[in-house]
Amino acid sequence: MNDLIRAFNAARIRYLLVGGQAMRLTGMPRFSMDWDFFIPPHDEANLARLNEILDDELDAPLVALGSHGENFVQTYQTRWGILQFHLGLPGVPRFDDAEAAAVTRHTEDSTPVKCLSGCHMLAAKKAADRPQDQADISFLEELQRLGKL
Amino acid sequence: MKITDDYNAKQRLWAANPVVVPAPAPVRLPAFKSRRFSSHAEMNEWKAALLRQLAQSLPSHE
Repeated sequence: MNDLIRAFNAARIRYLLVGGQAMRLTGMPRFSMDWDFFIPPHDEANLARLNEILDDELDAPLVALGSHGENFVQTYQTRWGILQFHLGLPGVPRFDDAEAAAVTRHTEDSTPVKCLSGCHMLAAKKAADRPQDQADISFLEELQRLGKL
Repeated sequence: MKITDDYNAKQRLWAANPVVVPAPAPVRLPAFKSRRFSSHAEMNEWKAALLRQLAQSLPSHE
């Protein structure tokens, strides 16, 4: 996965890691079976660069958000693992705002990864509010209380 | 240190000293083709079905 993220960074892909892997990179010991990326929903040049990098692994191209909300989440099983591209995120209205507030975290191998900020992550988790989000919310609120978010 | 009757204690302990732990590799995931969803609810429904399929495919411990 580090190879893919380094390729994203080298190609200046606009992405933000979100979800369970982003929680893990904030320091929560947590498992996730997929890698969730928030990407801008209508940036065709970004989608073209992503499709070029992922070319050999995709059985169907990554496409822009449809006019009726179709393609909101696109999921692929790849040699790097399950990749999920989110073209929208609950609690985070605009990608551009999230990108402006993004933080760089590091994998266990020191690969820099652009991640959704802690504040936006907390907002997204609260908006999703699934049973499996509750432990993440508790962890993020504690980081916030400690001034580490 | 012992903490009792506090389900959120572990989150507080982790937050006090955040450490990036290595990601374990998922195993035995069923193969699937790419999917496109129109909402997170639709995607979560599919993921729940995938996890049920994974549970059914696990070997018995008898």
